[in-house]
Amino acid sequence: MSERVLIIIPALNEESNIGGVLDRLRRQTPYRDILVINDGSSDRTSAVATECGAVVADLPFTLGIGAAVQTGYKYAFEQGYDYAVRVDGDGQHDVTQIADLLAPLTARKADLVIGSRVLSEAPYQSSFPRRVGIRVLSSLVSRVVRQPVTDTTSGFRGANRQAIAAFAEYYPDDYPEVESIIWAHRRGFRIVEVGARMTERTGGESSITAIRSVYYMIKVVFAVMIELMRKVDVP
Amino acid sequence: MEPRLRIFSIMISVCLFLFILELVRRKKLMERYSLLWLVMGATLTTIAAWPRAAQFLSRLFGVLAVSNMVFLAAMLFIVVLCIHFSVRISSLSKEMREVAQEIALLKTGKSVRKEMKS
Repeated sequence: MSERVLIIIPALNEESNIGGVLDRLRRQTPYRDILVINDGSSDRTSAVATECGAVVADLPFTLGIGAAVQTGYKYAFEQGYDYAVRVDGDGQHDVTQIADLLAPLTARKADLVIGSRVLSEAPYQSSFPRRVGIRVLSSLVSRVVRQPVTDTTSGFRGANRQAIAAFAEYYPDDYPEVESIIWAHRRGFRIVEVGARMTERTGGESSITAIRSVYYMIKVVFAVMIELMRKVDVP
Repeated sequence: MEPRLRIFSIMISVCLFLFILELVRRKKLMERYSLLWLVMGATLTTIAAWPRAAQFLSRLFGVLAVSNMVFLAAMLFIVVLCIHFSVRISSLSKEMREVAQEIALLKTGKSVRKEMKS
């Protein structure tokens, strides 16, 4: 019995990157079910994605990455996919590693797999404040979920049917990547990390200064605490 | 402060704080609002349990009566909050309109041209 995989690509104003991502998916992977979620882009992201043959969901206005990704999970759930893998529309994720994300899922060893930059052999070169931020967040989340989590903000993830169903129903808004790990743990999902190579964003200067990193981290810590308070209804 | 009043205000503050906690638990509040109201509830409980804090603040701002200080702070908080809500309601109304229009247009059954904005 062959299991169906959906590639979820949230994208906001990525007209210059989305074509490349879709092209690499077609040439370097066997996965043909692709959903691009256009989060209210003002450029030609949607048109480019459609030209490349992807199914495109156009949100009427920008809702944010959490809602965009959840739209993908809703589609995966409604269309009965067995696995959903998220690849970001900016081209930072290495599509050849989708198989690495799926391996623990198909082996029934995990419900949620995270592609971690920290675990990959080629270390991710980012700025000093960012690396400190990643380490602090990772130690906080690791403590909360009682297992080592090295990359809490990675969007490169795979989910199985149970996780898809849960995320389709509830997905956090403010700091989705970090909060969803907490939430998945509280729902009893098995979380596994694999090493994943990611490339630095090619266009644009990083706007994250040291002060903003600290501010961001304080807000994330509060969001994590609030996520811990939320009620878990397991059907 | 009179002991009865103090006990009463602490009880009310704690009840309010617990109520906010329950709203957060049931996912009735988004994270940003959760934090705001939790801080407000904690501040209220602190002032009720420890009136010295309010006394210090009123002396700092030159307000004669402590109760005036508390009322002033509370009213400012409420006014700013209401302005924020007005802004948020405005954007929600705009979003609702867009969603409603999209639904109506989808119902026509004619295929959608994606390049509306360029």
